[in-house]
This record gives sequence, structure tokens and C-alpha cells, in this order.
Amino acid sequence: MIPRHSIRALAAAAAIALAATACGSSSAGGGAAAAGPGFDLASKQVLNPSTKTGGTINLVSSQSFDSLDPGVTYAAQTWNLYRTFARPMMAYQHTPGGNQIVGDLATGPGVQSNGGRTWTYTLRDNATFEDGKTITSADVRWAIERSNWSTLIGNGPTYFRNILTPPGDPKFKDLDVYKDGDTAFDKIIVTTDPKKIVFNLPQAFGEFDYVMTLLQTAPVEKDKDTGSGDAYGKRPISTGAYKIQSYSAGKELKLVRNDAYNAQSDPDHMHVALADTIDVQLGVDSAERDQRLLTGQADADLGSALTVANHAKVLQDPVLKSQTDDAADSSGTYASINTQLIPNVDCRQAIEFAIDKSTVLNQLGGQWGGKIATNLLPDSIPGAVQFPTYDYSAPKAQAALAKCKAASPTLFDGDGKLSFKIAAQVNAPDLQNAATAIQASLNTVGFDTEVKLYPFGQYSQYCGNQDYARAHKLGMCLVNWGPDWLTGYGMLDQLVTKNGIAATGSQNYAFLNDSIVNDLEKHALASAEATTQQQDWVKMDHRVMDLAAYVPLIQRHVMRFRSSRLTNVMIDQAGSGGYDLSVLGLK
Amino acid sequence: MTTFLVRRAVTTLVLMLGVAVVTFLVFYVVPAIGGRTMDQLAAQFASRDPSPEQLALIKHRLGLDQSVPVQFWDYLRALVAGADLPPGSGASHCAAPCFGYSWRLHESVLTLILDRLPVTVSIAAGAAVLWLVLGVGSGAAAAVARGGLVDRAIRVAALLGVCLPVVFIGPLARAKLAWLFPSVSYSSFLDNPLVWADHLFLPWLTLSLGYFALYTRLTRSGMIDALSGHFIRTAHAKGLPRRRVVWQALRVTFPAIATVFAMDLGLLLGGAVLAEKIYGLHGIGDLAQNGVDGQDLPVVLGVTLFSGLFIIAANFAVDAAYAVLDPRIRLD
Repeated sequence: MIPRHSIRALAAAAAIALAATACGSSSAGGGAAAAGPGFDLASKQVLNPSTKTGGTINLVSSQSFDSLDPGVTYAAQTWNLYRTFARPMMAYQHTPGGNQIVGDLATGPGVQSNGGRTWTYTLRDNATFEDGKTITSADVRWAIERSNWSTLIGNGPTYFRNILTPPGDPKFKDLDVYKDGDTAFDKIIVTTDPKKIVFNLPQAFGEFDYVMTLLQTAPVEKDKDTGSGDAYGKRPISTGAYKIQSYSAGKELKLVRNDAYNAQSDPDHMHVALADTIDVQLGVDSAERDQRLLTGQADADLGSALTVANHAKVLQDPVLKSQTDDAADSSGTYASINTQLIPNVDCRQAIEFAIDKSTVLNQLGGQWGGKIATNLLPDSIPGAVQFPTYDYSAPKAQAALAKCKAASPTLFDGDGKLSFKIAAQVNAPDLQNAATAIQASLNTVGFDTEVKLYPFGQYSQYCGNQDYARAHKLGMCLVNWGPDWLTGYGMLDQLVTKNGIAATGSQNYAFLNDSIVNDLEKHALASAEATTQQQDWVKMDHRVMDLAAYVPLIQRHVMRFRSSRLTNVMIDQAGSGGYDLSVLGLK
Repeated sequence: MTTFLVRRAVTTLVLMLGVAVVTFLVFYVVPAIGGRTMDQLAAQFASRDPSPEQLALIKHRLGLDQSVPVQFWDYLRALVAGADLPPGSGASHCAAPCFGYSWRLHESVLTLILDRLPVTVSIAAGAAVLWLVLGVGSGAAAAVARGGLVDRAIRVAALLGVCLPVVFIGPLARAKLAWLFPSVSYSSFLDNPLVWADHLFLPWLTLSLGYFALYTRLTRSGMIDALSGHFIRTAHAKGLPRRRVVWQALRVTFPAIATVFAMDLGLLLGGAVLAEKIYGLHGIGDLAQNGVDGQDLPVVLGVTLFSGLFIIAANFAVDAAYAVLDPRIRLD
């Protein structure tokens, strides 16, 4: 019998000729031959529900992990995968389209006392590390401390540092728990009972349960985390249903079932290990990544979208389309308006009226790229309300601009036009095209704008730098923005409040520092009632839109592809807005 | 021979130093002229909203709080003597020869390069064999059948090959030959040579088409010159079989082909960036491109130095081979 590979080798000569002639072939590859359950269903129902075990799930990503240290990682796709082998205290429920948080390592949400300044969590019984050691509250405390008060800080989220550090206390400024010990936290994070962890906050923070969903709460064994914490990220110790078998930085991660995982400590089945192994290929070029997905060599991406070039291909092929989703991903595309450069609200409102969002949507993927946004909070934020703001109207834009010119003539140049630059990112052609569409809209009503491109990794160093933005007349910056968690705080804090303004690297590109907005946030965070909080977020949304500090462009949708052999497929917040990797299995 | 080796070793050191200096200048000085500050560079390795203290920590970790000449000196010293690394680097010590620690992957650059080397060597070796055999064979055939149908067909094929860039051939072959070669990946040659070849055939094909054209033309022109030489006429006159005469003419082209081949192979061993990217293979070229994209200076430097070494080594090999290919040449 001739081996299959030899047959292919014999056909090599023919292949050379075929490469040049580019003859046609079927669009559906081997793995894609079987139809999936249906188009865009994964955010609405569990697809292919099953409890079957075994096999290898092949995942792929065009990116590499930012870090495998639970205290350092700050990328949605890493978080999604990380939840397969780590247990944070709180986590998102596995429900299609869901964003409800429940206890994971904790038995449930925190119990508030002391006016919302004390939060108490109870750990589940008999949860263990992969080496069999029982998890205690001290392990959770160490995980939080090491990632917020040591040299590891800088790359990961800093919510705990910001929320728990007593204001003005100098001993926390340069504290390094690896060198200085952690006794300074004895009264801030109390773990006298190994089953309970108590947080004493200097100020009330109503969304502390969401902070506890961060991977920084996944326990870390202190005696396995030596030195300055550097080595831990190379081989983190699992607390979830999988554990790391091997990791080659930037190339590949292999996960295998964690035999020490105690399923009895997980009554809500937050972690299941149906497949024997999960193989993740990293840093694969997006075109090759799509090829592997569409030919069945890979089962799903860690979180990214199909390239736009393949949208038409999957939508025109019934088999491929049945394995495709185009779900909202809780993020939006916005254009900030620099309130320092353009302080007159009439001028900013003129910009709002002048932009034809339908042409912008066309540049951002049309109907598959999302839907037109009217205000800042997207549908996925609990309590969010969609309300009409500035409908496209050239006459209204011209009238507002004339009013502004009468009140603030110094903002206009010698030609009588308000001139500024519109920033977009170098490697984001869709945003560049959207910026060009905005430029065209604005220039027809009396603005003089120009599109300028900045590199992705340094974007906030330009758009978020007050001095640079003013000196270079950066009037608007286009950006895709998604929250760390789905609440008004997650969406708005960095985007529209003073907390998002820094000397360099601001996220509040509008540099909006409005006392009403800031006070509304403070009021929301001081409240223990979710309804009250949500009402405050909506009020903030209204206020920012009244001030015309941002132009909400679209609520984004992301087109993703899943293999038909996957089971328990769903898109939810547990999957960071993509496929929920913690529950996947194979047919 | 000894003089030759010593001279080459000294040249190699000087060249490597030059490569390192140029890479440092390109990385630091050129963006600085465009207005980039060290804070902006450091901020790319921070979270969303780094405080000044966090930025200072990151700058210290990456060595950006030092002047560029001091950083350069530290780099050279680490190459020879190793270095202790600041907290947050990924390790506390980097043993000599220390090519640095990746700012993004928090891994030793030497480890990263050695990890990816088999992939690049496999791609380069397979493609080189393919283009050498096909190119030299076609060139020889075209020269022997000069002016005929075979010659013209080969010349057209060579023209096509040289006209079609890797960025065109790669995706086309990947899309249209997926039925024949569904999987493109790297597996060890030692595990299963057939799987190794099967999974790498498309990158080989993609890379070799362009080179095939070059080698065909090179061989053809060299052989046409040789076939009109007096020694060939003499060989014919003496009644040597045609096959041996053609071989003698082909031998004349070997030094020129070997020179170009060494350069091409050396360059390819430094990373077949496009082919590796197109096919999602994690070789040195892929590492280099990610290093550039991620502003990961240690990776960029390490790969650049390794690539330089490969080219120098390839040149050294071809110089040494001259003595074998052409007995008139002496290395000293």
C-alpha cells in the first residue's frame, strides 16, 4: 500500500502547473463539509449540546499571549482561554449571550457591609491547585497583592491598586510585596479564616464583584512564586479543569485535563474538561488563520474576527454560513471630539449633526460590521437605554457652526473655517476609511479637516496626550472601545471621566472633565443598588451626549467562524464576547 | 588556510558590530527624529493608563532609562559575560552568550531563535534543493537546446517565475492546492520525513519558483558561454561522449552558481519572512517580523545578528568550496 504522503509527493509536479493555472476548487474544505446548526445562533442558544468527552480541540489565533501570568495578562482572548485553567473568585455564567456574574471559586457575590466599604467572600470547599494542595483565602490574597504591589505592575489591570490603596498613604507608593512583605495589607485584605476573604475599601465601590472577576483573583501558591514573580508566568499552576502541558512563547500552548481538579468544588459546572487536550496555535497570519478555520484544520479562533476578505465567501456558501456568527461584541466605534481644542459646545454639536453615520457604517463592514449607535452605552450594558441624539442634518450642522462662530470667532482660521485633524490607526483600514467618510461629511458644511494616521500600539500616546493633541490640532480620534466588564462603569469610567485623563496615555481622548459627569459616577459607585447605578450611568450617557464630547458611530458586530465538530458552542461574556472556551467539547 | 580563517573571523566580528550599531540606530535614533520619546516607547509595554511610576518601572526593566550608548555597551557586555536582569524581565539572569530577553515574550532571545531555527532551516533547505535541482537542470537543458522549443518554454517559465512574487504565489498556492496539501505546518524531520516534506511542500514551492527562474537564467547563460569555448570544441573533436561534454560545460558554471546560492541560502536562513507569515510557520522570519511589529528590540537585534552570521557563514562556506570547485583558486 502506498502511503498517503507518497501519493502527494508524486503529485508534486502536477501541483506546480496547477499553482500557475489557478484552477477553481470547492470553497468548502474537508472539515467544513458538514453543515453547522445555523447562522448567527451561538449568542442565542447552546449549539450541539453534548457531554461527550475525548479528542483535541484545535484553536488558533493571529496574536500571541500578552502574558501567561494571571496578574499581568490584559487581553480579552488570553482571559477567555485562561478561564479553562484558572478559577477567579467570580466569573460569568455560561449562558448564550449572557453577562451575569456568579461565584466561581467564591460561593457567590460578595456580602457588603459598612456602607459598601467591606466586602466578604467565602471560598468553595475542597478546591485545589493542580498539585493537589487545597486553595485558601491566603492564596487569593497573595494573587491580588503580587499583581498590584510589585514590579509586575504596569502591564495588567490596576483596579485593585486603585480601589484598595489608602489615599495619600506613602508606604504603598513603592511597595513591593516580594521584597517588603505584605503585612501592610493585614487590615485591608483580611484572611484570618482560610475559607473567607474580607476586603476593607477606603471608599465604597459598588461594582467590586466585577473587579473580582479579574484573573488577578485566581489563586497563586506563594511558595511556588519565588524571586520577583518573573518565573511564574512561564508555567502558572492550574486551578481549573485543564492544566498547561507545554508552552512555547509566541508559538503554541497545549492544555491537558487537570486530574487534580475537584468537580465537587464546582457545583455550577463553571469548568468542564470534555476534550482531552486543547491545542492553541499562536501568531498565525490572519489569512492563514482563516484558511485553517474554513478548511476544518482549526476549530475556532481565540476571539478575533474573520478577515473582511472572507465575509462574502462564508456568507455565500450555505455550509460555511451555517458555521458563522455575527454577534454584537459589546464594543463600539467612537470618534472623540477634543473638548480642549474645541471648547464651544455648538461647534461640537455641529460636528455631531454633520456626520452621515450610514456612510461611516458602510466603511466599517456595513450590516455585518454593526449597527448605527446614537449614544455611548451599547445594548449589552445592563440598564442601557438607546435614545435619539443627533440625526444627520447638514442645515442643522451649518446653523450650529454659525452660532459657534459668532460666539467663538478665534476658533476659526483666516478662511473662516474650523480646521483640525482626524486621527485613525495605521493598521486599521476600516477606521481609516471611516475617518475619510467623516472628513468628507465635515468639509461639506464648513469644516477644514484632514485625516492623520498613528500606529496602533502608540495611539493613546498621541490621541491621549493633551499637549500633543493641542499642538497638532487633533480634533477627533476614531477608536474601537470595549469595557473590561459590562457595566456603565466599565464602559464610561476611562472614556468620559477625569479618571481617563493622564499626562500621556489618556483614554479619555475628548479630555472631558465635567463635574456633573464625575459626580454622577461617584454617586453610582457609592450606591449598593444596581438599579440606582444603572440610572446614573444612563444620566451620564445623556450628559456626555448633550456636551457632544463623543460621536458614537456604531455598536460593533464581529463575524466569527466555528467548526461543525464543536459541541456546547456559545458566545457570551465568559468567552470575553467570543466563543466560550471553558465549556467546549467535540462531537 | 590559517590566514584565511583568522582574516574571516576578524571580518565577522567587525561586521557583527556594524550590524548591531546600525540596528540600534534604526531602532532608537530614527524614531526619535520623528518625535518618539522613550516614554512613548515604554508606554507600549504598559496597561491602558500607566501612571508615571509604572512607566518608570517599565523603562528601568527595558533599560530605557539609560542612554543609547550605555544600552549598547550593556548589550555587548551581556553577549560576552551574561547579565543580571531587572525584575519583570522574565528571569533574573541571562547567561552568556546573552542576546537579551524579549520585551514581549519574556523569554531568552537565544532560546526563541534556537526554538524557531529548525523551522527556517527546513523551509530553506527544502526550497533550496528544489530550486537548485530544477533551476540548474532547466538551465542546462535550455542551453543545450538553445533556440529550440524547449529553450523557449523554459525561458518563458523562468520569466513567469521571476515575475510572480511570493505574496502572490503563496496565497494562490495555499488556496488552490489545499485539496492536495491540506496541512501546512512544521513537524520534525526525524519523526517522519514524509510528513515533514508533505507539510512543507507548499512553502518550498512558493519560495523556489522565484529562485528557480534566477538559477535557470544563470545556468543557461553560463553554459552557453562555456559551450562555445575552445576546450569544449577540443573535447568534441577528441570524441568525448556528449553527456561528458555537457557535464564539463556545466562544471564551469558551478563557481558562479555556488556564489549566488550561498548568498541566497544565507539570506533565507535568516528568515523567509513572507513565506513563514503566509503559511503561519513560526520560523526566524516570523519572529523577526513580530519583533519589529511589537517594537521588541532584543528580538530584532538577535535575529539581525543571527541573520548576519548566516550570510557570513554561507560566504565562508562558498569561499572554501571554491578551492574544490576550481582548483586554480587558493584560499590564502
